[in-house]
Amino acid sequence: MSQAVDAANDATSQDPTVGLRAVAALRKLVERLESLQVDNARALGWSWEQIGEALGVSKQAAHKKHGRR
Amino acid sequence: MFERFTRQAREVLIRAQVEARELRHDHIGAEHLFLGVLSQRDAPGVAALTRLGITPDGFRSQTQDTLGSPQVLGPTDADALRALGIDLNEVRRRVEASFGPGALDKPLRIRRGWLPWRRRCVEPVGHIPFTPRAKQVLEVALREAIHRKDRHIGVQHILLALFRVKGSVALEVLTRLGAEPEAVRQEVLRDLDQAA
Repeated sequence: MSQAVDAANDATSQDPTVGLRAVAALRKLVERLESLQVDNARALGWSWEQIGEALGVSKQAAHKKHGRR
Repeated sequence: MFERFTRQAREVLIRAQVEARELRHDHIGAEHLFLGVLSQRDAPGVAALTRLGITPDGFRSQTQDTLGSPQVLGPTDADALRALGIDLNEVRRRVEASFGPGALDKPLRIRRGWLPWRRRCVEPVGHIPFTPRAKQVLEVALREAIHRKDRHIGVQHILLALFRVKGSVALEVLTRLGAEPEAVRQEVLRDLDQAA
C-alpha cells in the first residue's frame, strides 16, 4: 500500500522519508496523549504544579501549554 | 522557469498554496498541486477528471483522511508508527477504553496561544515550502511540455507530470478514491489528443 509499510518491512531501511514521518507521527501521538492526560488530571483536581512535576516541566510551562485550551 | 507557465498554470500554483494553508499543512505537495489542477475546470484535460468523478471536494476530503491534519492521526501516521513497532489501532483501543469512544481522534480545542511557535501549530502562516516531490512534478511538467512540443507549460502538463512522478500522496489519494492512476492518465491523454 503506502511507502511507509514497504519500508517497515525492510528493517534495514534508512530512508529519511520513512524515519522522519515516523517521528512526526509519534510527536502527534504524544501531543494527543498529553492533552488527554492533562485534561483528565485537571478534571480530577490536580494542580498545575502536580501536572508539571509529573510531566517533568515547570508548573508555568504546563499551564502555558494547556491552561488556555 | 515560471515565466513559461500559462496564466492558468500559475493559478494552479497559487491554488495549491491556498489549499495547503486551508488544510493547515506545512508543505505544498503533489496532492495540493492536484487540487490546484482540479480548480481549473476549463483547462485542457481537467474535464476528463470530472467525468471520472474526481472532484475537488472528494479529492480534498480523501487527502485529509490520508494525511491527517496536524492534529489528527491518519492512515499515513498509522503506517509510519508501524515502522516503529507501534500499533496505532491498539493505542486507540486502549485510549478509548479509558477516555471513551473517539478520544484519540476528536478535534483538539483551538489553543489561543500568543507565542509565535504556538500560533504556528494552529495555522501555518507565511511561506509554505514545496516538497521535493512537488518540485519534481514541476520539472517533469516542463519536460512534458517539451515532449508535446508546446511552447508553454500549461495545466495539462502539470496534470500529466502528476502521473509520472511515482509514490506521491496525490496518486495514493487517487487510488483510495477508486481511480486507478494509469487509467485516469489514459483518459486525460485521450482528451488532449482529441483537442490537438
